[in-house]
Amino acid sequence: MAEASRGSGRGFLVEDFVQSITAQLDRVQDALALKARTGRPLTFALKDLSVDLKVFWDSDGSGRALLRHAGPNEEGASTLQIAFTTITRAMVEENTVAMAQDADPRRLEELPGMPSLQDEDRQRLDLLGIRTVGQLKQLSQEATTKAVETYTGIPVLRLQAALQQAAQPAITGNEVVSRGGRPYLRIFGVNLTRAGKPEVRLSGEPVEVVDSGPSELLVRPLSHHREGQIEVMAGEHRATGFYDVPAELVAPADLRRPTPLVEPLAAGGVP
Amino acid sequence: MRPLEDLVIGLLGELSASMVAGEAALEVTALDISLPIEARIGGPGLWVSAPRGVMRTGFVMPHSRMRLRCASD
Repeated sequence: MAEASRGSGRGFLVEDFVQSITAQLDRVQDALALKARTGRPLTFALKDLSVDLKVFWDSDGSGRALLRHAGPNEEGASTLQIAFTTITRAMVEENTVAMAQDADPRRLEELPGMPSLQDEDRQRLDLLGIRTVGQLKQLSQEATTKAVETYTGIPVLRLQAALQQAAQPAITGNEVVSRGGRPYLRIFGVNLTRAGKPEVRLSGEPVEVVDSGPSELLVRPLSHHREGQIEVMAGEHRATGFYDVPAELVAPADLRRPTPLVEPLAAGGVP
Repeated sequence: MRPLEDLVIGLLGELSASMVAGEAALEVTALDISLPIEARIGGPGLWVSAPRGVMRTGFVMPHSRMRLRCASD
């Protein structure tokens, strides 16, 4: 929340304050929804919340209303009553961000080369409920960049740069899965098929891409692949990560002939 | 002082836990809570705590009030 250094010392813009409380209650919703899903026998849904706050009103140079909480022994404070409407469990479920359905669940600060969005920009987006790269992309699909600038106050150029970075392929994780007794590598990421089926290299060697989707690839490592770098070539863009195939998932035949570090002595030994 | 959401989540969590612990035959369907709080507007949002009363210095923070209506459905 932007402290109104643009106004009097400790005053806060009313719109920022209300948006901040809304974001805080969103977090309450998320937490209650998670608790409900863990199968607790009794979970309360928050229906209404109201707060009576002792505040002082002020305004900044451009006439915007500021408020600050009353300090110790300050007389004459106003009482600001803020009431938030009913939030039932059904609404909690309905309004909770479907984390599993987010096409790009990376946090905004995880975007590579991220100085395009500054801390204040991210804070403003957070107040609007935009916390992931996927949500930012969705917003840009539903409104023009100019409209987003007007609404959020974030300059178009910075938004465009962020969206450009958000469109780059990136690897976010991987896991080894076993199929038919041999290991496969599942690669998680975003924009992995932005230029069609990608080429994948493990430790610098091309490997077969068995299955591909924008956020998931399934590849077949070669028998000698144990650990090393993953490279996904999506058109002219390249995303990298690291893999590690646990020894217990490697087919026994692949472990049978370890390369000797020292040649065995010839029969007869040292003369 | 802690963020508003921490107080609300903590409060509802404690109440939920205490109400099922005794396996009472009564069913709690709704809760209305009204409590005095100390509130501070800061970044980002509202920070709250239980009232501290009069401080050693003789200062006393004005008390705000928070009301919660909850249902178990």
